[in-house]
Amino acid sequence: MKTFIKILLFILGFPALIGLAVYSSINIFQEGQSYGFLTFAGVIVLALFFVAYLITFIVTEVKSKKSKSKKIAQKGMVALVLVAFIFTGGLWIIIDVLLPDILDDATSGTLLFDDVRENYKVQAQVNGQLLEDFIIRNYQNENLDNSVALETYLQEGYRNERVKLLIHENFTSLDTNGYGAFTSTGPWVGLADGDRLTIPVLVHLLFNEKEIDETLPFYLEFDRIPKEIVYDDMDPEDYYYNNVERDDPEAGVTWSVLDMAGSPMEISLGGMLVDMDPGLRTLVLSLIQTLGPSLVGTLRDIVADPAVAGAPIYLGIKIGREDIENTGIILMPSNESRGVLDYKANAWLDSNNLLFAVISIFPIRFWLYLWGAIVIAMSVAIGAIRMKEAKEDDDFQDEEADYNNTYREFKHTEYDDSDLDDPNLSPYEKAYFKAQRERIRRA
Amino acid sequence: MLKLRRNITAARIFQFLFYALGFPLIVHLVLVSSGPLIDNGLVNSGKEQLIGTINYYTGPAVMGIYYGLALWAIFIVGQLLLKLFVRKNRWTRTAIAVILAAIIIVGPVLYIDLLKKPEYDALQASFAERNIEVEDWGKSASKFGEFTEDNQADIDSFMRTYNIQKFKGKNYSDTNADGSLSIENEEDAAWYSPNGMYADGYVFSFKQANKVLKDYYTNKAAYEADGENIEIELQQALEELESNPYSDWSRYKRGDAESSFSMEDFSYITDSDEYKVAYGEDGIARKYYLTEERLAQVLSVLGRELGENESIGSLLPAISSFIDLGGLDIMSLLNEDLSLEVLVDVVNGLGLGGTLRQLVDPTSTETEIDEAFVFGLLANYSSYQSPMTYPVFYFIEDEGLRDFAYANYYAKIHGAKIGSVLVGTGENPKVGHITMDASGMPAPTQEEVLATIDQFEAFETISQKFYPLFALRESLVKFGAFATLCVFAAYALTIYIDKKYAKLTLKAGVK
Repeated sequence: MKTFIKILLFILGFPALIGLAVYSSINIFQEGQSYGFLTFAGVIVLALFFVAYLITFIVTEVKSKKSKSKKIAQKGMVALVLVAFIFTGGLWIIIDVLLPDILDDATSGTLLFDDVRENYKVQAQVNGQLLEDFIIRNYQNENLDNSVALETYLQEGYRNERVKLLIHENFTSLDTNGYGAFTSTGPWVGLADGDRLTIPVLVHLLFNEKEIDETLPFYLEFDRIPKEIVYDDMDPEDYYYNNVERDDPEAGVTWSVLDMAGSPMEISLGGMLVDMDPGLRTLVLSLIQTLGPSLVGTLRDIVADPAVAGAPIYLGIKIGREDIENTGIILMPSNESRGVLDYKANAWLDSNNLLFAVISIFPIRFWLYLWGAIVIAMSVAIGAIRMKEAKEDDDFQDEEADYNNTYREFKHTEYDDSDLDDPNLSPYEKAYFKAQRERIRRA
Repeated sequence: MLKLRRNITAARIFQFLFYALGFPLIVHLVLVSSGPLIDNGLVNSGKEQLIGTINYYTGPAVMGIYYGLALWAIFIVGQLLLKLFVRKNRWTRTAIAVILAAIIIVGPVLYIDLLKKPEYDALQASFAERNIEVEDWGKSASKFGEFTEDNQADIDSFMRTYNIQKFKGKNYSDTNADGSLSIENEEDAAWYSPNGMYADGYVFSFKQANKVLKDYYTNKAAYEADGENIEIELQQALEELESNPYSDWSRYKRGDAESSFSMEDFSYITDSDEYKVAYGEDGIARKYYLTEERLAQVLSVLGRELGENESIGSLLPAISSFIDLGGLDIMSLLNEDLSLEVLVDVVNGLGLGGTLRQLVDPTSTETEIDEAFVFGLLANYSSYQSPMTYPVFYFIEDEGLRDFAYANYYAKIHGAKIGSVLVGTGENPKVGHITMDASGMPAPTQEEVLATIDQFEAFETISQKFYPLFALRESLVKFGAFATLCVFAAYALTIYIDKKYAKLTLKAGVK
């Protein structure tokens, strides 16, 4: 019966913790499955901790069974409780000091410890989604061979060599010739990101001379150019012209500041058109539709000229056929055409394998901290049962003997109490010594 | 026997409780009263310090707490001395300890009321001379917490108006555009470039925004009082510096010897070449704004690309039916040779020069524009003050005018760059968050700004000096008698416990 209870208590401790932690991690396993064993880093750490606890459990159990002494059982309990603490909450107090810096390094400061700590499930989804988005983009621009099904790529994920190459090599271009070039010429990207995109900041971003590494390749098979004029009732798939094969599929590219944020900017003209005289409006709209493609094309060429912004920004006009209010000018970044994500997302994706390893640790961390209390409590309970087992066979002779020894030593001591007049002794102390000695004399 | 023990245990609990209700309670109450002071940026100019893993705070806001702790410490030292010197008579010891506690509590209050109040009154009078209202001693002493919270609300509103993100300022990058490093000055709550100006990515702290506004408006008001317009004076001073080949500014640009400057103790930031390095041919600073060459390149591309576009040709007749182009052949302009010169000629040819001039400066009587006019306009949007050179206003002799010139630059140009405009321009001036998609807040008037700054200054001076004392004083006054009583109770209980112990001793053997 006692053995059964002990096993039950044991299971409620660490094994239950493992169960809870693995259950919480399922999401992460699913999202990061293509990243291999790194996704399981957390569980591997947990397993190692469990082995340490298990060994302690077995050793103390065997020792206590063999010796049948209460003292050994007691020592075993202390050891088990200490190991339980160290390998649950204890080590983590130290790891918590180191982890924020590791995370900071892995994400170039774009993901903070406190953001993931309790938010690991959502973060895993976000990071898993990045890979999916990336693959879809590169499938649409035929950077990934379209004779293979999209599903195959999605399934293979990071294990696919071409996907892996595109993620890392193309990010190097985005990082070095994009973000790095912008941030090395001052605070402008930061200001734009911090809701301080003023005209001077924009001018700086567009016209600052930047250091560009022209030798960096960019792996892109086809150019995928958005149409100059699109309609609000169009399928977003049709926003683009057919893909055109590039002369050199590894030629370097340049980046505009819009590519860092990765999302299009829209300047609405709807309000202006609504207020317009209907006749004039029709005239303006027909002018836009006939002259638009050519004019917008020229404007794109101007912007992309090295003397101007030096990087493509796909200007376009969106016409509101369903709702005139939707009419406006669109400034499209080149991210979608080129099959990259916005800078931050792409930076995460670039170190996603590491990130998944770090994220996988968070559910483990949470349960080790919380369930650590239960593991300790169970260890104490197991220890108590062992002591009880020992006590029954043991007749608690050891301790009793110890006690008698000290008592006897005391008994033979004689005092004359003259030392109690010491003025340094407080009334409490005097009273205590007196009472104690009196008791010994009378015994 | 058991009852006796229970009595002793109960007495011990009460002994501890009464001790805690003495000085520890006072310190705790000072801590509570200091809460608003700690939360207020103007009082709490200090910062968190770290010794190992223990935080402690410095700065005026927490001084009240430290004073309270000091009083407690003095009492503890007194207690230890008493124990050493008054050994026998326990009631004498109690009496002296209670008297000591009373003195420690009453003394500081008397000190504050008798010696600090005249200081306060003098300060209040000096602010009154400047027409700045400061509350009376009595009101401040009792309502300092409320005043501090009100002031914090004013700070928040000021920061919202001018789009100041962080009380202590924020720097968006450690390096300026040209790669030079910016250096933080914690006391000023500012980041500076090597030329002593704000770093490129520096968004004002509360303190610096106040300083800029003060420099701007007090100097402006001072000139107005003399019937002068400081902006005209500044313009003249700058023109003089530019046109006089022997002015310090001209010497600086040429890189003359330091000894030849009329300014005392002038020294170059790096060396006499610095201006040429930044703004000379291929100058570093020239990479970061739309220079004449850059503009020429852009216009040339524009001319070429538009000229090559066939639709433009078909669009032009449509345009000329709306606008009278005066027989101007636009297509002939659209080629690689398109330049600012050509555009200026076109505008003047169409007779639009005067209109444009008046758009910028309603008092202008000129009828034509020139290239300088266009660059003047552009400078508002694209200019770059090199962090490695002094600006022209560094060489203005008159101190007031120089301060104004710097403030004018920071408030309007630096502010416009970082999206925290401090002084608005035009007919309906706006300040604060002016970006591509935000249009700022209506600018407060000169009088309003000056009054606000004065209030902040008065509050900062008074609150840092006196509010921590008030926090201490309040607790001492309210809980002084109670605390003294509790000290007595703690001592009395000690005697009681000792007596009970004596009884315990006698009966110890009885079982």
